[in-house]
Amino acid sequence: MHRYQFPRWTNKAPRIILLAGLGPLATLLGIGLWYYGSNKYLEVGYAPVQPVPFSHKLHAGDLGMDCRYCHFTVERSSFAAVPPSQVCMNCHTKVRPDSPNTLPVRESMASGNPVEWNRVHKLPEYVYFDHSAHLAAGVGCSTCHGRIDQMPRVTQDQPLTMSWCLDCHRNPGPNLRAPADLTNMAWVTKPEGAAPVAANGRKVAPPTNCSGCHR
Amino acid sequence: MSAAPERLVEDPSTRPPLVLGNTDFHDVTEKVAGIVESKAPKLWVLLLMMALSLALVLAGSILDLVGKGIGEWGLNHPVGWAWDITGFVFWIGIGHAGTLISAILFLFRQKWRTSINRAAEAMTIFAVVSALLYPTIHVGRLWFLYWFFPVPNQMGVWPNFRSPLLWDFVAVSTYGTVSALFWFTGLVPDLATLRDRATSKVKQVVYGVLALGWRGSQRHWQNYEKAYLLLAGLSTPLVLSVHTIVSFDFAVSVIPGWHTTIFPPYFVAGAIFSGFAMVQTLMILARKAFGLQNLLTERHMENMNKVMLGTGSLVGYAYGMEFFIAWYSGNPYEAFAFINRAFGPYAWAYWTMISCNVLFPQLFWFKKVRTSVAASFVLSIIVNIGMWFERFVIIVTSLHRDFLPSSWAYFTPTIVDVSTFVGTFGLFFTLFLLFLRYLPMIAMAEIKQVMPQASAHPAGHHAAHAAGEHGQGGSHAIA
Amino acid sequence: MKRAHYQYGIDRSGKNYWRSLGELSKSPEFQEALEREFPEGAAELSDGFSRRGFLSLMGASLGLAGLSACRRPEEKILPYAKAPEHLIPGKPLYYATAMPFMGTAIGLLVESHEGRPTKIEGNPRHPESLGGASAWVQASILDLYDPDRSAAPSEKGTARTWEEASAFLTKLGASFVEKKGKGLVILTEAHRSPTLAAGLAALLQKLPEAKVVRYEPFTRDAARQGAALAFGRPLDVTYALDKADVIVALDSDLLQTEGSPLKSARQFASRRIVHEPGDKMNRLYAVESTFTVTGASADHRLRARRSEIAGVLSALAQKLAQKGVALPAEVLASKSAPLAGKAEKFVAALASDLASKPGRGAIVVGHSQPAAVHALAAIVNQALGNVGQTVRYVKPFDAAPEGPAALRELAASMQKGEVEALVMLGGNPVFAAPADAQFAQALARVGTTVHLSSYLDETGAASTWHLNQAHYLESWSDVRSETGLLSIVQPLIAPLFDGRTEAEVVELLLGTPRKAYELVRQTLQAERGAAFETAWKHALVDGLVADSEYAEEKVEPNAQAVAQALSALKPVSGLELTFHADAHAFDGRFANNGWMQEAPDPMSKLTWDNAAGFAEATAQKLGLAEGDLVELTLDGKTVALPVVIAPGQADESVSVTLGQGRRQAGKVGTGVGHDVYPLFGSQTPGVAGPVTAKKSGSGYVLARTQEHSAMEGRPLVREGTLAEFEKKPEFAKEMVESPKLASIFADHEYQGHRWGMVIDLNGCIGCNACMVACQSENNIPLVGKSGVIRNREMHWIRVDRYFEGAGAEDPQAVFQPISCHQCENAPCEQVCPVGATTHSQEGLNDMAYNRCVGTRYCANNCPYKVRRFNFFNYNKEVAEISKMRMNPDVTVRARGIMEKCTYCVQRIMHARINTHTQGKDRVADGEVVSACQQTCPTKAIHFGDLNDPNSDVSRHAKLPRDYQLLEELNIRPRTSFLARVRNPNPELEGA
Repeated sequence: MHRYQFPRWTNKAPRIILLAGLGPLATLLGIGLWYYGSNKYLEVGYAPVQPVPFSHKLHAGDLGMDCRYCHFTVERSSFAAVPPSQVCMNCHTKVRPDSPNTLPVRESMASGNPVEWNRVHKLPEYVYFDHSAHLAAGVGCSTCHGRIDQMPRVTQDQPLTMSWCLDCHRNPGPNLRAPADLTNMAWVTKPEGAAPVAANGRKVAPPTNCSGCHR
Repeated sequence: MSAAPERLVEDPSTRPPLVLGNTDFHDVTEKVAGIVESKAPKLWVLLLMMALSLALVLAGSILDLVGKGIGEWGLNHPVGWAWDITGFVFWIGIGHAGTLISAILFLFRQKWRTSINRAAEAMTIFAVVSALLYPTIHVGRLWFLYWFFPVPNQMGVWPNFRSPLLWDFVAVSTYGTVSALFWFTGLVPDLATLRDRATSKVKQVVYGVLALGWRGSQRHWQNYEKAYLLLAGLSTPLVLSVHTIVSFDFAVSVIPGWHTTIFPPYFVAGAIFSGFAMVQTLMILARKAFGLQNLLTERHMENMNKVMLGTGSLVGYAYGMEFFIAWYSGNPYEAFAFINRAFGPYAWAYWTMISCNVLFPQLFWFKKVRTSVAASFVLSIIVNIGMWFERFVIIVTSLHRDFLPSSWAYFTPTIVDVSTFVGTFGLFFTLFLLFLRYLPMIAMAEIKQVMPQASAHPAGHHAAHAAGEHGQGGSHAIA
Repeated sequence: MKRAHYQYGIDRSGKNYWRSLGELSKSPEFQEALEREFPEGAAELSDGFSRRGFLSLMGASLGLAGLSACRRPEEKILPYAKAPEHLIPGKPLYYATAMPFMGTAIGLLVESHEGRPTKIEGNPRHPESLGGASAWVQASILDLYDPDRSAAPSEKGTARTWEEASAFLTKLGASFVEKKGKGLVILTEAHRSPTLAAGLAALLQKLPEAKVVRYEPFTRDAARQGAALAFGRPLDVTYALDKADVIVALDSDLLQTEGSPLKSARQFASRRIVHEPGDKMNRLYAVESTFTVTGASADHRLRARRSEIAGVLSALAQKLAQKGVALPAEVLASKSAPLAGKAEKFVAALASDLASKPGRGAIVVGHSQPAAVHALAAIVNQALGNVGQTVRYVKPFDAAPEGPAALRELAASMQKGEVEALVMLGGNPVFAAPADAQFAQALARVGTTVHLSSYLDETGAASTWHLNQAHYLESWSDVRSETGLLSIVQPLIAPLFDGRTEAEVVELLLGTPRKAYELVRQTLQAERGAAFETAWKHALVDGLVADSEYAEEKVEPNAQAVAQALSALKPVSGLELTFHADAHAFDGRFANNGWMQEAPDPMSKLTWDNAAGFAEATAQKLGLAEGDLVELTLDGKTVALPVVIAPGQADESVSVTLGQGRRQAGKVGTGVGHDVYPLFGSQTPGVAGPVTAKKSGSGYVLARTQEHSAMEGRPLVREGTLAEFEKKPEFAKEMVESPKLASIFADHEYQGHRWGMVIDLNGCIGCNACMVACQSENNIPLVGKSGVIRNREMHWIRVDRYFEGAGAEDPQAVFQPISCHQCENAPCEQVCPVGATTHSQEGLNDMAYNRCVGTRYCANNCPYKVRRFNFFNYNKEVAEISKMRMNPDVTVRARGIMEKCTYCVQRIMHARINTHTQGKDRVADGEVVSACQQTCPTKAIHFGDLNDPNSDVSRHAKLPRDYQLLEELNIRPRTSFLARVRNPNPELEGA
């Protein structure tokens, strides 16, 4: 009989398999899932070093400049313009005209070559996001960009994933503010169930279908 | 009953024996296990080499397809599916015989199944593997295939549960899993036999592990029988459901020639038809190659041929019914689709299908043909060809001319179409040949149960209650 | 068998739709041949993707790495250092300009993104385009970004800088001063640019002995000379077809290739709008040798050999005289072979129709007809009182001949060695010269030859100097329309390849190198004087200079001259050969334009090729069949072409197109099709013969987008006569009956918009403009000849062409534009396993490319077969320069993805967003204009919000003629059609 009997130790087989096989597998899976859900993967907190040590904290925060002074197309265009060197120089010809920090800007002005900023908030090419539409509905800067006014260096604040977009598109109410508050960094989201209505009384019905963002 | 005549007995009161040549339990074990233990026959090696090289062709075709794009196939607008889905349905169809033979015939206590069910089940699994290959590689961007799975994701998007392709995906994978389980369960006692007869340590361990410590005790047999019965019960509805759902891929669409309620039964019948044909082909080959004439008798072939005659006629009826409905419905698009099948540019394919699936099988009405090995072999191959054409006709002729004549087009396969399809045969046969060599191709334990020796009753009585003595018979087997 | 099957059910049209010639002449092999979409051999042609090379040039990929949500690549944002005026990043700008083409000016509005022109649209304010744009105009933007354009001047193959070239030109100009310019010849195209004219005038003033010659293969010379015969002085004829109740097109493709097609088409269609019973419509008679889109739009069409049109016209004159129209006796004297049978009836009916509507008819003669025919038509129009009403004469921009004759003379003097230096400004004479001019040899005998052209083409290769020319979208110029209306050609981008314009080259010859900008301004200044600055500003904004048209000329007929000229005419004995502009390459200038090459010929649906069109009877007589190669021989010269059996082609007449078969066009156009110029003569341009046709081969594969031309008795294109419409306005709806339809899925609810489209088949002339406009707007890739052969063309909107009617010789043709119908119960949506195509809140059938896995199930299940699959990565390896053309608002699709018409959803979303940013809620009607709708010359496409009862589209959808294609499938299409209504002459009913 013994020939075809399993040795005694094989009684432990289930436990062994569980520990040596499934256990690690499960942990790996867990780690994987955690990673893909984590900010690391979603790049929340991505904050590349910029060619110019421009501080939003200083300009937008301490000096209280309006976002739209530099990002002047944000209400008119899909693209919130990164200011031309010109715009910087409007002030910096007077203010600290020869600070080493603004050197690249002055060079760019002289040469006509652009300053090469690093993109922080990146959506895939097949996503057609439009700033003007969101501002028109009353979605303010800080909703997606966070407390820019407290960032010496701009950092990605939100995951910018599709489901993240959809959360708000399906229930825009809480994130709609008055035009006056659009650039108000301290603005806090309204309570759940706030009516999805723009300041001018227009009902805000953001698209939740594909072509809303993918064309 | 050793005095059993070598030829098939025609006395209705007694059933002819399923095992000939005065074979006893030991002989069976020797015979079947011998195949695995003895040195590989030259023929087998040769066949394996051929199969492997074909499998390589498949690999090449897939690389080309994935590298360059689906355009490597002859597909066009409007023919978006052709050889790919044809091949898929073809293999899935073949996959049906296995489970049918094992499960349904088992439930109906069709003892003759025992000598073929093992191989049939194996064939099923390998066919399903070949089949599943097609939907995988036929998509434009297979690296996103995982979107078929309903897993939560950061896009907040689910698959479309209204799509027959999704049902299909679920049905086929379920079928594959259950068939595999069923097959393995049946293998356990025989694996144990192999383990016991193992001459080398490696074999002993490998077969040992696979045998899951089978000792042939009463308890083992009881659990085994229970499990086997349960799985048989499980897979029986699957046999019907899978091809029903595959047929939905077409029936649910709006395309004339696809949009038909007759499809589910028609597809199932066709599947069994083609499945049996393939089993027949393979078994006749194996029988020759390994000299199993005594275990795979003419009677087995005859029964299979009878099933083919039946299902073939069902399929023929479906063909006729399609035309009747096309006319009776008064839908001119539907009508055109069928007229176009029979007399359009693909008439050659249609008539090939008709003659292979409906006309030739009629020969099975003659006992001479039914019981002739050669005839069965040729006809089984003809049926396989016919069934491939059936799928081709349904898919391509319906697509190439639908509603707007402006977009009508003719489909012509490219070399890659052909190589991919031929390649799947390579894959299939590689797997099957390996099975023949390394696993008992005939269910020893089961076949012993249907031998006279296993019957507690006087010879002559048909062993209907044999089930009760399985355990006993089984333990004999080990001895 | 098949036909018998359609006796019951849906075919109530009573029309006998036929599959093809084979079906009528039930020849089995023909049947067989036609059953096949293309010959077996064709299908086997698995050179799979040999033409991919060129695809690399077409379209562009915005780096769809994005498609697989991969890790973030480092990405830069490059703001302007100094922001340009008016430019808001992300917002397109529109500039007015004009395209000089077909001897007129086509006013355009060009869309520009961050300084790069991306899309051409017609300028609604411009009377020559009226907001429409033809396929060629749409496609011209592709040439701007063509990487094959030459990037620098070159001398005998060695590259030179413009400095060197300028120096050379100035020296060249100076070297002729003491010879007073003797031996210097400037060869231009048939241009209409006042600035260039001024420059040349200045040159002639400085070098009085120099010569200026103008040449293009297709010109209005004959018409001009006809006017000279009839009225004693060369005049250009223009038409006001919107005032015409009866239009007679004598061998004139006035809706597509002759005169001012966009204007003509619009005016023609404006009189065919029948909404309610009682609405009137005009009547078009076409007499032509080859089926053209004009013939297809005609209410009555008469097949006649091109060389016998004169006979038909004089027969018409005779009949008119009998009806009491006062025609000079001389013209009636000229006798021609009496007409018989159908032709006779046709002319009789036509005559009474014309006579009964004095001043409200127009006889339009084709440019390929001899001067005498134009002259006679002029006399008849005059006698009918049409002149001044529907037919108007204006002074020509330049009276000098500009057709083949002109070039022949030049070549002759070149042969004699009288020409020392030849400066060719644009054009491609070496390729496009008439054979009898033997221009190539003549050119070899000229000492110095200079060629200004965008491409280093056949002529450039044969010249000592090649100068690279600026595209019209990147240069300052001006152009006068056929009526003399002046438009400023305004650049949208600095010359990409540093090219120069003709005027600038002339300036260099003059030694006063001024920029085109100054020159153009100067010209306008000369015309407007004090009011110049305002005129200039308006010209740039409106795209035209107000009231700059020529005054209409008063004319006095001179029948004597006409009679003489007529008597000289005689029809070609034997097989006649007629020349036409190629539907793809025009006269060769668009040969390297992939969009045009892949846009099918409206009638034959042939792409990437040209062929010889035979009437079936003629072909049989000559033992020719479709797919054969035929050798056409004309006085010693032979050209081999594939044969196409062309329904509606006149017997004993072969039609060929000029412009294909370029030897040096570029990566796209070189070697495409067959060069027929060797048979093109200057004596009687347009027609030649007798020509001998000999079968020289077979099994030639024609790449056609539609091979099956019969409706199989299915009510696809539904049409009736005006009379039927009066009786039963809803005749179209009643052509199909189906049981009560119910869906197992819940209906969609629409609070906001519900976009829909209505296409008026009465307006569709089958011109392909929508096709190319869509290709341009939606970044649609090309698949090449092999792709078309495999039926893999990607057009989102296609124009189906069906033949109908009793006979193979004389069918009628109907067109039907088909794009995604955005079904309410979309079959595609239901079967997609991953939900890549779904229904939007505004009723669109969304296609999310980035979600598509490519099972192709949706395409299989689409009853209209409008879904297009990317079988390969058609946008791979794109030249950087070509990427600039892409519309940034539309994703460029990768391999393995399904795509289809989206109703231009990018435009819808822009309109939505603009409305919302303005604080408004609903997009106003007319704010969303789809690309096809915008460009449609006849404005046959209506698009808008079906939820708005007053929108243009809703009003059209409610019309009695409205019907939904395949509605019996319960798919509830969003696009519906307005049934076609013909207006046959009661006298000719049934004929």
